[in-house]
Amino acid sequence: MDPLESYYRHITRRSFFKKTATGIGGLALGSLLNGPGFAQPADPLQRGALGAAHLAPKAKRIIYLFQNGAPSQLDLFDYKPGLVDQFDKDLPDSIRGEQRVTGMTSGQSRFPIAPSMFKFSRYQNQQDGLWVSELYPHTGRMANELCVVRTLFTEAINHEPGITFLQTGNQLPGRPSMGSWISYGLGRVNENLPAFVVMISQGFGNMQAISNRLWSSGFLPSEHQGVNFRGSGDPVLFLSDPRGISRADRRRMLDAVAKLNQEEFDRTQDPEILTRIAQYEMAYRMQMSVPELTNIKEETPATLDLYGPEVTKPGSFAYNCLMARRLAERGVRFIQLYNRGWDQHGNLPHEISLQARATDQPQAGLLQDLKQRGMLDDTLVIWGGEFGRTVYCQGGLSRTNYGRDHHPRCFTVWMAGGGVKPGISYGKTDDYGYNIVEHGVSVHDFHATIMHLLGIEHERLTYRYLGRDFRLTDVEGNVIRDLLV
Amino acid sequence: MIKWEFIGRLHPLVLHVPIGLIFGLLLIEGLSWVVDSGTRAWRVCRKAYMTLLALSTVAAAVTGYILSLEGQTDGATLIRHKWLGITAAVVSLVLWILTIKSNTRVQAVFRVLVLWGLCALMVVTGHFGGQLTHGPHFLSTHAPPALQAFLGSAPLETRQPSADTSITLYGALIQPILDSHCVSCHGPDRQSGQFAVHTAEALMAGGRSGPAVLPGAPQDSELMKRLQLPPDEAGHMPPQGKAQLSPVQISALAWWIQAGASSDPGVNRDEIPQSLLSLLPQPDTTGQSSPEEISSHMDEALMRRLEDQQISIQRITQDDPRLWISFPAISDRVTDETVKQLMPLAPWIAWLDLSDTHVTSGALPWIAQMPALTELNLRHTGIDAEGLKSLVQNPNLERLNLSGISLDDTVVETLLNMPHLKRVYLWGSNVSQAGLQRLSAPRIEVITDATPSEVLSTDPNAVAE
Repeated sequence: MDPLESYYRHITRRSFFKKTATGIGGLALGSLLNGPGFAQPADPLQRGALGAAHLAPKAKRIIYLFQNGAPSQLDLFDYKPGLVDQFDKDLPDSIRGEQRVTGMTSGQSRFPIAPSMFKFSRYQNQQDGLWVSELYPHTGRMANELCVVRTLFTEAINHEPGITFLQTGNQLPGRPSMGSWISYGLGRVNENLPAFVVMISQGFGNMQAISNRLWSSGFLPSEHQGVNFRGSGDPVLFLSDPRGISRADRRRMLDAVAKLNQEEFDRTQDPEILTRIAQYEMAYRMQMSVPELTNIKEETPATLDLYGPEVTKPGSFAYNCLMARRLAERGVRFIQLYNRGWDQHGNLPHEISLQARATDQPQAGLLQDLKQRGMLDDTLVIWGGEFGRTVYCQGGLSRTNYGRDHHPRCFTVWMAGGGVKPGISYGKTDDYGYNIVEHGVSVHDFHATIMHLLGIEHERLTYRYLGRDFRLTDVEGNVIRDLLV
Repeated sequence: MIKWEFIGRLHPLVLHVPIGLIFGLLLIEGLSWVVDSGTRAWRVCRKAYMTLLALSTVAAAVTGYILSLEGQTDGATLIRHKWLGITAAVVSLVLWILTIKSNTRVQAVFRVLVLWGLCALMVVTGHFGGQLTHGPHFLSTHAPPALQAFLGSAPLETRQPSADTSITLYGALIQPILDSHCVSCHGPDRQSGQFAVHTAEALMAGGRSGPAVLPGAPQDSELMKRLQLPPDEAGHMPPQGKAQLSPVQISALAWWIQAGASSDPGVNRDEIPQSLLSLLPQPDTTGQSSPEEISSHMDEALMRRLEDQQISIQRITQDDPRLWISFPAISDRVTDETVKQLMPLAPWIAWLDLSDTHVTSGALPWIAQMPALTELNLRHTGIDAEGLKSLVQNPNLERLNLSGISLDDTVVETLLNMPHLKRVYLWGSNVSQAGLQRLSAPRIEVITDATPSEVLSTDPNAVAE
C-alpha cells in the first residue's frame, strides 16, 4: 500500500480532530511525558497538567486507608448511649422517613433498634473530648491528632456504586480515580515510583469484591492509573528479571521495544503508545526502586513495634501501613490502601472485633510514626469506608449479637495531619445515628476539601473528554473550611 | 422611546467604522496616483467613501460625547480623548468638502495631506480611547523598551514594601491587590463610577454608590459585595472577562475591613492570619513578578542538568516563583556536593527536603545562603549541633525538621536565635526535657511525638455535659 495512504488509514477521525485542534499533535503529547529520554516540556519546572499547585499545598501527599465494606460508625465512633434503653424497640417511622433500604432488609417485618454492645471512652482532644469505642483503644489514644467527620453522606446504597462514588466522584464506573486525578494534575516527585500506588489487605468474614476499575485512570492518560503492589511474592508482577537475564540484557530489550513502539507511534500518532513506552521505562526503574522500598529490615524494632505484631507479614494491613509510610517518604503522592472485610450484615460483634484488632494498632502506629518523623504536618491520612451501617438490626437481635445493613445517610470518617484541624470532631447526627442534624458533608465536598489540602482548586483541574470538561467533583463540591487549620 | 444612554453605548461599535474607512480611503488615494484615476467611477468611489467616512466620524464623536455624559469615567485621558475626537469630526467634515469640491492638482495634494493628518489624529484619539477601555498600560506593558519610553508610560512600579516584621498592613497586603486588579479603571487616570482605589484615601472616600468600605463590617461593605456577586451579575467586580481576585485575596480584603480598615503603620506581621501570609511579598526574593520571568533568570541548562540527576525541582504554586526541592529518587546518593550544585538557584529555594540523605554539617553554610528558605527537612541526616549555628543567618526559616538526629542541649540556644522559627521537630534528638521546655517559648512549637490522649471518662451520662 502507498505509505501515505496507509498513514491516513491509521488516523482515526477522533485523533485527526484532536491533532488539528492542537496544532502539532506530537508536540502536545510530548508534554505528557517528562521522564528522562523523552521530549522535555518547555519549562523544566512544570509538573503534571497543572504545572504546579494552585495554592500552596498543606498536604504534600495522601495516605487513604480505605475501609472496604463499610465499618459501623455506631460501634466505633458515633456514640449513642441513649439507645441502650431502646433495645429491640422499633425505629420510629419519623426517623426512617422515606429512606430506601436494601433488598436484604426491605423484606423485614420490623426494624428493631440494635444498640452497640461495645463500651465507649471519652478521650481528650482539642475540644471537649472524643468518644471512641473499646474496639479502638490505640486509635482513641491518637484523638489529639484526629479530625473526625461524623456526617459524611453518600448517594449509593450498595458497595460497588458506593466505593466507586468515593473513589471517582461518580457512582457509575469509568471515571478516573482520585489518585489518578492527583497524578495527572501534579505529576510525579520521584521518577522511579508511580505517583499513585494501591495496596490491598484482606479482612475477616464477609468481604466485598474490589477490582482495578477503582484505581483506573478512566479517560485520563493511562500512565496515571494506580499501580497495585501485591501483598505476597513480588510486589509488582514480573518485576524480577528471569534467571539468566542480566540488567544489561533487559535494557537492550527495552531499547529495542521502545524503538519499535516509537516507529508505531510515528506511523499512527496514537498517544497511548507513548504512555506504553513510559510505562516500560517506569517498570525498568521500579526493578531497582521497589526492592529497596520493600526492604523493611532497615526499620528499627521500635518503629516496627508501633505497627503491632502483624507488621512483618506481607499483605497485612499493618504491613501495608508501614509500606505507606515508606512510600510517603519516597515522594509518592497518593497511597491508596484498601482493607477489606467490614461488611457485617450478621454476627457483627464478633467480626468487627477481628477487623478492629487488625486495624487499630497499625493505623495508630502509622500516625505516631509520621508524627515522630515530622511528616504528619504535610501528609494527609484519611480513614473511612463507602457508607455507614444501620441502627436497626438485620437478622436476629440479641444483647450480644446483631447485624447491620448499609446506611448511606451518615457515616464517620477521620482525617489526620496534612492541614486539617487536629483533635476536633465535626458534624452531628440524631439520637439514632440515622440522620444528619448539622454540618452534612457530601462526597463532593469531601473531595473538594481533600484537593484543597493538596493545593488544587477542584474547579480548575479538568479534562476534556467526549466534548466536555470533566472534573473529580463534577459540578458540585464545596471546600469545608471548618476542617482546615 | 430609545434612551440617550443606549445611543452613547453604541460608541464602541460605531468608532471602528471610520478607522476602517480611513485606511480604505488612503488605499484609494494611493492607487489613484499609480493608475489612471480620471474616470468617473474613481471619483464616485472616492466621494462615496469620503461621505461615509465623514458621517461615521461625526457619529462616533456624537455617541462618544453622549457616553461621556454618563460620567462613568473621569480624568485627563477622557478630556484628551473627547477633544481629539471632536477635532477629528470637524477635520473629517473639512476633508469631505475638499473632496466634493476639489479638482485642481494643488487642491488634490492638499486634500491628501489633510487625509494623512486625519489619519494621525485618529490613531492618537484611538490610543487614548484604548487606554480608557483597557487601562493606561495595556499597550506598553509588553512593548519593547524603546517603544515604552516613547509611549511615556512604563507600567506602574510594583510596590515593594519592606519585609520588616513591622509593616504597613495596607501597603503590603491591600494596596497591591487593588493595584493589580482595580486601578486600571479606578485609579488616577480613570475613575469608573467616580471611584478610585489607588490610595487609601480614595478608597475610603467611596464612589457614586456611596462608601465602599465600612470598617468592621465586611459583609455590608459595597467593595466586598461587588467582589462576591456571581461573575455574570452586572455589578460584579472586576467585570467578567477581566482577571479575577483569588479567594485568598478576597479573604485578605475581608479580614482587613473586619480589623478596622486601617491604613496606619505598625501592624505586626505576626498578627496577620497564616492563611493570608502568602500574599505578602516574600522578603529578599529577587523582586521579580511572574514565574515566567523568574524561569528566564534561572539557568535553564543547570536546571536540566539537575533534573537529569533526578533531583525534583518544582514550584510551590503556579504563581509563586519560589522552589520546592527534594531528592526522593536519589536520597542515598545525595551529599554536601549536591547541595552546593543548587546554589545558582539559592534565591528562590523555599522548601528544601534533604531527609534520609548523606548530607553533613558541611552543607549547612550553603543552606545558610538561601534567603527565601522557609522549610528545611534534615531528618535522618549526618548534621550536628555545631553546624546548625550557621542557619541562624536564614532570615525566613520557619520549619526545621531535625528528627532522628543525635544532638544535645547546646542546640537549644541556636534554635532560639533563629529569628522566625515557628516549628521544630526534635523526636529522637536527645535534647533533654528541660531543653525542650526552654525551647517551647510562645513563638516556637516543638514536635516530638504524639502524646497519647488520656481517657477523660467512660460515663455515658457525661456526654450531655
